[in-house]
Amino acid sequence: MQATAPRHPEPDPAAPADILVERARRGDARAFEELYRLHHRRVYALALRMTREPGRAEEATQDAFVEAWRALPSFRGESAFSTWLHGVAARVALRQMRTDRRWEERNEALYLAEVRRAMPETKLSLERAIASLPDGARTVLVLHDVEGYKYEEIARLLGVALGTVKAQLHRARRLVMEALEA
Amino acid sequence: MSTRDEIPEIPDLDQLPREAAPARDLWPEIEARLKQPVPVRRRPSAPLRIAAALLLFASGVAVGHLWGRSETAPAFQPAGTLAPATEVQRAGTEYVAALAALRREPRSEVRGQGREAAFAAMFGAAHELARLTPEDDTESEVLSAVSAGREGVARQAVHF
Repeated sequence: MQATAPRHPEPDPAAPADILVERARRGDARAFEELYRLHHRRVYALALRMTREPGRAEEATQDAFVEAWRALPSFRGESAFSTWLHGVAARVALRQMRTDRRWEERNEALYLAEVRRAMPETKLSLERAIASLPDGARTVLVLHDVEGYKYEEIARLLGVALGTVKAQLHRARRLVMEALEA
Repeated sequence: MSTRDEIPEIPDLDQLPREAAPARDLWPEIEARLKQPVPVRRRPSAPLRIAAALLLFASGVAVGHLWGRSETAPAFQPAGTLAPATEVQRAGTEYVAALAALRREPRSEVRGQGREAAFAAMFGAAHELARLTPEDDTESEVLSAVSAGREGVARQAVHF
């Protein structure tokens, strides 16, 4: 009996990420799918916390991978692929937040239900406090305190001054603390 | 002492999960989109590009006025009817020189901020130019082109 290819290939452990990236750079969609399987959960989590809307987070995740595919030829390996990809995802999510008005009426219950489903081990009170932050403060807090980006990386990513990042982070932490104490 | 130490940290924040699986498989739609041709960005028409190049000089008006308000009186004050044109030319030349210096700037974030500032100044100049001769369509087209370009730059950056 002839073996059939799995519908969704598991990431090949024998293929290091840089080999996959190189293959994808040359137009190998199968290699790019493996990269997607490896990284899409991180990208979706980032997009979900930034956009606070499951539908928009899905769109941002898709857009991020499509943009990453198109931009791969310009990826020179100066940073890890995952760092680069998350940068693309963050920019896409930010752009959506600024330009897409379909999601202006945010549904907190829907967001928290999705958080509960997709990240059952998380602390809901903390997620709720983060979700209550203004866009700029929430973005910096998620990138720095959750994703582990450095100030300089966030400033470069967002195109803002280092001082702005620090100020936003300070504001975000203060607001989160207030929300948790309320 | 790092700034991170100066800002009180929130307990457990770094313990939040960094992965979440979407409710459905997103790959089929991504794969379908990968096969679509990349949309080609339409270049502005030649007259608009020429007008934009001319505007590059004219945009120095805004910068010149700004500097003129904040600095002491210049050593050389052009006289006669050519004075405003001379000022525009001088400010425009300085604007172009500043952009050339920006091109040599190695830090991408500084280049990005400079680019945004350059577009903002150019937009201000285009606006003034359009007000100067509201009956002329060329200025209006330049203003539209610069406005679209400025929005494009703004989309690449983040405003808080």
